[in-house]
Amino acid sequence: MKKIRINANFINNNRSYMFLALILIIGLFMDKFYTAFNIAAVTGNGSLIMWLGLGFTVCLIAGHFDLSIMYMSTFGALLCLGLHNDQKLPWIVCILAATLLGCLVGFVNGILTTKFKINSFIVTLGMQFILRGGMYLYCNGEELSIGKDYSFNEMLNAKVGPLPFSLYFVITTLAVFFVMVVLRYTRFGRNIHMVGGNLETAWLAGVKSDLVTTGAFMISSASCALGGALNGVYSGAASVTMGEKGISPLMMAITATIIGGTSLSGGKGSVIWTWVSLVAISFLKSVFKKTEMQVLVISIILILCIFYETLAKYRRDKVVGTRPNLHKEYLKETGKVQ
Amino acid sequence: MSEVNKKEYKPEAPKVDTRKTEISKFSIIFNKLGIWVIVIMLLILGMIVSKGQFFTASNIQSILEAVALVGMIAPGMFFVVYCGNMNDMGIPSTMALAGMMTVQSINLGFPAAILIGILSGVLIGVINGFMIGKLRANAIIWPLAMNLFISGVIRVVWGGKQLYADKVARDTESAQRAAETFYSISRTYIGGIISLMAIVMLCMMLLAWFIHSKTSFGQKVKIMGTNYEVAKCSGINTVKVTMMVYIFDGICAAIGGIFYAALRKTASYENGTGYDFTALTAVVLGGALLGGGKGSIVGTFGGVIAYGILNNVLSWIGLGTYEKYLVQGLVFLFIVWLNTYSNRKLGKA
Amino acid sequence: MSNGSNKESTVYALDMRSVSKRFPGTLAVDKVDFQVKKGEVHALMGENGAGKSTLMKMLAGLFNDYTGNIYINGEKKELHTPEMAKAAGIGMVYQELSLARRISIYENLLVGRLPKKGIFVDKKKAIEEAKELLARVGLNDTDPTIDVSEISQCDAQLVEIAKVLGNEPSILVLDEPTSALSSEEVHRLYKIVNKLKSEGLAIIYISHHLAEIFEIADMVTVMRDGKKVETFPVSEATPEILVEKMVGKSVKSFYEGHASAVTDEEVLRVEDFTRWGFFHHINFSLKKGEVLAICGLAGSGRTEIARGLVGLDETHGGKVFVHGKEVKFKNMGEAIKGGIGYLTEDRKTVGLALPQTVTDNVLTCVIDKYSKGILFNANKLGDLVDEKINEMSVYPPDRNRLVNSFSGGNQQKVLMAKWLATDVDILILDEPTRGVDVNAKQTIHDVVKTYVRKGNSCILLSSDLPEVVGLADRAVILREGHIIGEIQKEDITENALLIAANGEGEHVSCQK
Repeated sequence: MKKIRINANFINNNRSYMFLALILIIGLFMDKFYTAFNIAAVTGNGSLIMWLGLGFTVCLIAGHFDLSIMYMSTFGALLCLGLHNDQKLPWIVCILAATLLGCLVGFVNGILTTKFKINSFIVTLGMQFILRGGMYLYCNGEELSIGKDYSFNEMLNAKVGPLPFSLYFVITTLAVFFVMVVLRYTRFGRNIHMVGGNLETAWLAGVKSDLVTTGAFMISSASCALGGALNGVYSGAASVTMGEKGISPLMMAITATIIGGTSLSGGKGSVIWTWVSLVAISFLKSVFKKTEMQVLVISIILILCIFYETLAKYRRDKVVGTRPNLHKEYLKETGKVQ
Repeated sequence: MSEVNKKEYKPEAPKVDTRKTEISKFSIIFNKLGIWVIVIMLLILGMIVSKGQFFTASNIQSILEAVALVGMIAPGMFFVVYCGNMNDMGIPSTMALAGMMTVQSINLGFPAAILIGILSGVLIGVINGFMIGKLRANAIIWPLAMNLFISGVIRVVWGGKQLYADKVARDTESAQRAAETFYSISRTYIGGIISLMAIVMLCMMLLAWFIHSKTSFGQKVKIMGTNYEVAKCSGINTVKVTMMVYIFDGICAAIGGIFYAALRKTASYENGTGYDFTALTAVVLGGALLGGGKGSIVGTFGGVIAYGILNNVLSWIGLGTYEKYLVQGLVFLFIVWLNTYSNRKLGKA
Repeated sequence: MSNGSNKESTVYALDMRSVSKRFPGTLAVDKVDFQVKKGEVHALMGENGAGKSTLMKMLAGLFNDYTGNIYINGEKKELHTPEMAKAAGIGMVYQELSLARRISIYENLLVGRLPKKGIFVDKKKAIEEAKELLARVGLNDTDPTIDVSEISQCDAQLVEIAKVLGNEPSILVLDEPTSALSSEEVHRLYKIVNKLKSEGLAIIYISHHLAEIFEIADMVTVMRDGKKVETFPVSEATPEILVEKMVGKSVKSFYEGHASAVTDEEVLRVEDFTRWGFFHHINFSLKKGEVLAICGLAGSGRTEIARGLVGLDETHGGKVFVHGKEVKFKNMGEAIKGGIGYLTEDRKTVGLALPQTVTDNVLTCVIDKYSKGILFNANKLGDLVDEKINEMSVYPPDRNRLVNSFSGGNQQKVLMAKWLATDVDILILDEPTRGVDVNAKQTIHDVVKTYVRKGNSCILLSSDLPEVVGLADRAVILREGHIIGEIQKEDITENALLIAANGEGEHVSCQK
């Protein structure tokens, strides 16, 4: 009995890795799965949602929802390409400008949530509209391309050394690990966890909770804008509907965050878990060629995860508050222990 | 002696009771009339910018038609928000499924097809209600997972294709007539003026208003939304109430989905995308508290109407679809802030 | 401390001079003087609502509008925010743990001041510091990297103390630290408190348990109705003296004239009732017209028995008979139909829907009863609501007001009105007068007396001993989830109850 429980827990705690392993094992039986071309394409195309997942997870750890991430990344892409095409600015400046815009949007989200005390769900829902309108205004709804300047695009698409990964994916991965380091090893990062885990504790201990929350929103929006900008360059074009085809990237980011195991009530989670789930989802798209099957399989995994968590909580709630002495007595009386 | 309420305890919250001393008149007015103040302001603005053509029959008709679908879904969403479950992100797939089922079963005749479409909404409502009411699954994420799952099922079962009622219908006269009737429901004008969709929306709003303010169920939802534990400890069967809320929500979304499919003349898995957020926008505009227990159908209806009028006024001003998003977002945040602010001032939040 | 130089001995670690704090409707702390020396364990005693917790919250900086002066180590300090209190050297261990459960122990311990190395958190150093802190509270073997949710309640309580110690306080406040601990764990806590005392901390110890006071405290201050009664060394005290001071003499007359209405008819019988881990093998019966008190300390399982009876929690064994018929309620709704009501303990979280009107709240339990088919019109029931709130003399008697605009006492009256509206004949009252003023208390007591005189019955769960003495016809004593005895009306005194519930053998002799 006890052994089984430990195993179930182990699987649950490492479910993103299990998910990835499962997909990679299935891949063994697929044609042309483990080719350098396929791996590079899969991971490169999946990078955009990895950025979104990164942003969503950071916010969720701080105990907030950020629904504006998808349009943020699209706006980032459009702004980056637009600045390069019209103002002839160098790529690095364009990307920085997109990131700055992200910081600004995150700041506004954070202020509205903490100072104006509007629910973050609502704030980012409104921000979604604003960003959507803003980006349409910026590009008049047209598709922007990178024009004739392919140098940076080729750089992002090129494989890094002997690795079967494109530079874009490598940058994405580095960014994820960077944020992981910030979250895990800096005081600011630990405070994000604390604010999400128990706002009152954090506040009583003198953590500037409003600042930390705003910081989390800024990381979220900035990384999405940056990721979007890079994705624009990587794919050579950006349009207002970027990523809207097939499954909505926002939904994918949320799904991967949940499958990864980040707690919905905040405080617990890891951007690595989300990232691993997203890598798995990217590969899954190569295993199941049809969108239909992709959606079905991902949703079934998501449902299983939620089901497990719900049942575990349902069981736990029934015994919470048990008196230790009485519990010993119970074990004795029912003969579970001598 | 828990004078300090744990959750709501905020650093700057004063410890003295200031509720009765400093309430601005505006807060009170806004809190009572809520969104309708905005609606009237928008109406006046509309009259000015349209140079008097705002109140023509055709303009009012187009406003009503534009908001009819949202207005059908909003009552369901309202009850979900009102009972304290934040929102239902499963609405798009419920709409899609209802559309698919209706079109698929059009050969059974028009009434049967509609019934099957609505029943599919009921089914999803039952599943959601069981998971959220009985097992206490997270009310935001579970409908989201269901949304993805149903969408996956639709895509797999129908192979990602779009369904057309006239093609699904057998080559018999009755089946073809059923398909035609189905298409026509979104294009019928009663007395040549008011569209059937607007009437259905009004009926559903009326029904929701009746349920909310006149029935024991509405009263139970109110208490449950305010405080789940209180409801449970006062003999309200919270599982049953949650279940009914989600079934009603499913029915609303299904009806919306059927009209949507008829309007677009096609049923597909992507029908209804975005309607979850639109409906939530209307409900929140109407002054409903995301935490539950506060809000009214009159307000929700106001939210829906305000949404439609705002769009219309912006068109009169001459903004395109995309500029509208920007203004909508700003107005939305502003109104939500007003709601939050006036609630805080009145000590209701 | 007796022979220190004269100047030093007058400097107290904490010196509160005529401090007061007013809540809407009540003066919770009324011109209290309170002094604690260094290296002293000072017990603060009093009944619920006596103002102990408010006084300590004031010290922890949760109120910015108290009056009076607070001196710490001779210096005058303003304690308006938790940060100010912390900076002044006050460490407060709250009754409810303020730990983030899904976060590791060491981070909880060092929240807000994690050591840094460059820009990174120095995890090694943090863990070392955490280990030191844990060692100070005797948790040498606990791994500080695991989550708080993985350790027992007792360990979590100790972690909370360690966390407070981490800020190097000179004054440590322990608010009911033993309420969730088992007896061995309590002894562990004693050792730690004694160790901290020898380190020179001033410790303020709030507890209801008399035995604990005699075990570890040096001085004791008794509070009653927001005022300080007396401060004296524990060595000069006996349980009787303490109880007398806590209870006061005036209260006796307050409860006089209660004629018993008990009949022989049995309305409720509970046999071998068990919920594993919460209460085991409970047997008792309730007669028509009787007020039966179930007495026990916090955490003895009182509330859980009530919740089990009305079907709010799942139970594992035993039988419940109502009017001789066996029943098994699956939820509260069935219980109300079966004639049992349960006035819940905490009106703010499980009692009242605060942001709704009085009408809505009073009618909560009777929505089904008064609905016609599916129709329900709250406005038509205005007479019923008015009748009930007049019966409870709710002030202001306005049924359309929001409940959160009433004072605590009137909110409690609304809660009582809500249950009177159900017309059940067995009512379980869980702490019916906690945190309410004297007048509201009297009203509620009068209503209870009238209620049982009409041939109904009550089960009273209360840690307010005068209340039990004044109302109960019989008391069963609950300790650690077991019923250990029964006291008949004529033998119920506060001393008897206190001593029986504490269950310390050497004090039983005080009972006649």
